[in-house]
Amino acid sequence: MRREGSPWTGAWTVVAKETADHLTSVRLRFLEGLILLAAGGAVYAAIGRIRDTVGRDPFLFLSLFTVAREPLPSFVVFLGFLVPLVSIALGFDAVNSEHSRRTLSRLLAQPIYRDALLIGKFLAGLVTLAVAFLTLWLLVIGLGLLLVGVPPGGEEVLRGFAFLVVTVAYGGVWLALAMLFSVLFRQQATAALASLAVWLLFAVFWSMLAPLVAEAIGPAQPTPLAAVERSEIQQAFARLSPNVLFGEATLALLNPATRALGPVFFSQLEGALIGSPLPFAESLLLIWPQVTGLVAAVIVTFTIAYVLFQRQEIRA
Amino acid sequence: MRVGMHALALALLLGLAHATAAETSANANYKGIWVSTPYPSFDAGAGETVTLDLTVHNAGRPPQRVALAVDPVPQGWSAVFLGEGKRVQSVFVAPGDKATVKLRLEPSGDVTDGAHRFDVTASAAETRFTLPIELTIGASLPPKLTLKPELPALRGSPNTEFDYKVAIRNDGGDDATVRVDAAAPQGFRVKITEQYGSQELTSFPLKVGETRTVSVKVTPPFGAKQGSYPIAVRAATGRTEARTELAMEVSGAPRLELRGRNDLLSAAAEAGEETPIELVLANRGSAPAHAIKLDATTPSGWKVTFQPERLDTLAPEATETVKALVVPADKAIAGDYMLTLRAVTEGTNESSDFRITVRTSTLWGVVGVLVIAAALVVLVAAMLRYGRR
Repeated sequence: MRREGSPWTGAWTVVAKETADHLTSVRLRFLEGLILLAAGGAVYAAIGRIRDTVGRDPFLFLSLFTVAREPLPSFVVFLGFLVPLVSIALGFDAVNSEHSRRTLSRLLAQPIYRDALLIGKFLAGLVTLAVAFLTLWLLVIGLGLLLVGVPPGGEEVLRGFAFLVVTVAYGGVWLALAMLFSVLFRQQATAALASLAVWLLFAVFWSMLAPLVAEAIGPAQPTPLAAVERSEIQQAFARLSPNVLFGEATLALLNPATRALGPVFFSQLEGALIGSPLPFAESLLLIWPQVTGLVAAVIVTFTIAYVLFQRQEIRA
Repeated sequence: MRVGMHALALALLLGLAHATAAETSANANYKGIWVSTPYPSFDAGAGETVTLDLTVHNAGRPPQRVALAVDPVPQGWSAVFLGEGKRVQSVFVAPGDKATVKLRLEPSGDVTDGAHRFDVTASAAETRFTLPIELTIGASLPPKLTLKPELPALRGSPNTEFDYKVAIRNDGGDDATVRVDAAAPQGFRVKITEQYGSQELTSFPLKVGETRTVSVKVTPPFGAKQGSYPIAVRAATGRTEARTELAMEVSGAPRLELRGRNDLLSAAAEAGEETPIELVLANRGSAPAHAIKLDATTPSGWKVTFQPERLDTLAPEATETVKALVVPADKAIAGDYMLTLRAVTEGTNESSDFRITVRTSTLWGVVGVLVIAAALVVLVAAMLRYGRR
């Protein structure tokens, strides 16, 4: 039976309620505390390094995000590691908790379609992520202003903001994936474990798998051309991982001297001014495939979750 | 009568000749005390203090004291005898010996021009000798300087140093301090040094009859126009001066300048696409440049052509707009590349480094947007199929 009206009726109500729940949940506070500690420590260490070498970098503010001091990794590396955790924590029990609390039928008895429920939950997660990262971003900038004492330039702000957007998109991928598992598995623990398994796979093992795959399916001849082809296969395989996409995107955004992300032939470097910063538009163009890849992954994963959820029997 | 006169003249001549011969023989056994000076009559400048060397001789006379005096001392003069720096009134001479003494004649302000006579008398016990000295004021040799350039005209390019040797000679009657200077057209740098040396000088002492060669080094200003320039050298003392003119012929040279429009040295170009860059070729030199060829050093895979490829002539201070068509390599990566563009002409070449920012095609950006659009289409299709449950 086809129903009448807009499928989005009530979506904003869901978004508002879920966001409020997220922002007041102990779980999120716990995770934010973890991120704050790790990222704050990384930035503080970075500022210590920057102070020693002040004045050398025209993009001083961006180096807040990328400079690392032993033994702490840089802010960006911390984020690449911790953003999936926060997203998974927000999404792994989105749907199955409603099942287990037996609130789903009661919820859908309201004039709210399933469409609105799922997209509302997803948007709420995304808003929460955006709020959390924006706060963190502002915190870093504020800390930089306070401790470095140099205001950021226009292009630095632009690049920093693009970095924020990319981070939210990266979080969105993991949020959509966690929600997919929450639709797929009735058990919350299973969904959480499945999400964490994927996270581990991409965060730790993917970089080890990529060369193996390249060797397995690439040409085996010991010629330079074959080597180039192998490295291209390896890179293409590695780029299936959202972590790699995020890493490449942030590298090009936060380090304006990055001019290429793949292997570069020596002839391409002839006459090139190494270390001269790329204009922002060119950097954006360079990482556009990565950004669109992330955004498309969000949409596709969400679509799968959506289709599965719509076809699910929920009157159990 | 007339014959008598002749005879008398002859007799006088004969007598004179006789007397000379007699004197030479008599000189050896001349006995007496006398005073001598090498130049008993001379000229002196007005207000000048004159010092004469006097020698008192004693031949065959007993050793004795000889009193010296100037008598009469003309109006306005003071005469002093000096012996080893002290005022003396007399000298002592042994037989066959001589004593030297200086006579200083000092005029006061109101001494007039003309001849002045001083009689120096030496009075001994039994004899008295008078030496008349005549001093003429106002007839001394006038101060005079001559300047003689060794090579009065030189020719060279605007960036050479022109080195003239000028000999300065004091032809006057007095030692003098000579001041040298040279006047050159505006912007020309003049340095006057010793002939062999780098020390600059403005003045130096020059004795009577002495010659000194100085070196006048002139550097034309940067980009001096072709032409002939006069350099006036002047040497002066307080009382006289001498001038000479040196000719300096500056031959011109072209000097090219290659810049972008509005002096830009950077441009943006898309990889694999032809991008025109407007260049301004200027001749900032002093002579026209002929047969200018435009050329470029590029990274491999790049192509640069010029429109036009060559210029026949470019007058000084003239500019010409040239177009460079830059095609970055297809595989060029985004970012800055260095490109050297050159204008070459006879004897000079000018190169400019251009910074070309390579932009990559936005085609892949569009593809990315299409990918997102496709994902959205899938989502919308799923919603249409399964929506509103």
